[in-house]
Amino acid sequence: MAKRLARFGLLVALCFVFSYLEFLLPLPFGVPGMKLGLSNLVVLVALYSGGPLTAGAVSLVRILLNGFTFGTPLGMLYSIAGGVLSFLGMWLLYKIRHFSPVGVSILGGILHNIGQLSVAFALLGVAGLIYYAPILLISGAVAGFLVGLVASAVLPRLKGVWGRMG
Amino acid sequence: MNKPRFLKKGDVILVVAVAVALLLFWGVSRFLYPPAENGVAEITVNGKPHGTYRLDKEVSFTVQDENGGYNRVEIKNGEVRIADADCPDRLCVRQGAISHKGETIVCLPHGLIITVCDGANGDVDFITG
Repeated sequence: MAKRLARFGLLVALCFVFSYLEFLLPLPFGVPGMKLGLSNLVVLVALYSGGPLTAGAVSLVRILLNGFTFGTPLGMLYSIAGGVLSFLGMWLLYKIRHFSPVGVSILGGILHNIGQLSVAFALLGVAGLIYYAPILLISGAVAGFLVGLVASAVLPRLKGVWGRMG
Repeated sequence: MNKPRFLKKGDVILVVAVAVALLLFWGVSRFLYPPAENGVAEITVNGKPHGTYRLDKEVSFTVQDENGGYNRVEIKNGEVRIADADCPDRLCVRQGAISHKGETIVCLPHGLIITVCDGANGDVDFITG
């Protein structure tokens, strides 16, 4: 239990740092909402090494921490929509088992942006928002792919580290 | 199977599905946007009508928003585009020129939307809202 808790703390801290990093250094493409989603890397690692419960908790705690520290209530609404949708999708693919972390992460990236677009659509009601949709869907898929690659590289190595830690 | 170990069958299916969905999206939008008849550009700012301009007359003008931001709209060769703007992302400029019915250019920071519509008849230069 203590080991689990320590891991959980590590994951949340890492997630938090990654979020802060992305907040400090936004991608220079000028599209609102376009991000690499480094914190999703941590959620992904948590999903594969700690299970859905850990991953969901890491994701939620990160969103709350991040929202209260750097964000606005509105920003938090976007994060929650993106985070929850993305987590549910990744969990589903993870359960199906025919997907590697790369596939899981791609869907996560896409769903994250779909969640945020839905909030934008609900709040602003601009039909023209559809213009952003293809860009954000593609960028979500690409970001998810990259994050997934890193996760597949990290996961086998992490197994050893965490084994020794316990 | 001589595949990299981090890619499974499901991943490939997922990527193909996403690509197909995007292509469909693009195809449907082409199909939905036929060339406009006597096309006009309807401009709204923050949901309020700003004006309607014929696409067959060359014109260039600036639309100001409430906070002093501007978008320079240019109509040329039957197409409308935003030639310049001072919004932070300038996505509206990058969206390029449009001329097909139903196509839109959106500048979210300034709340400006340009939509191409069929013109009612050919004898109106522009109608301001």
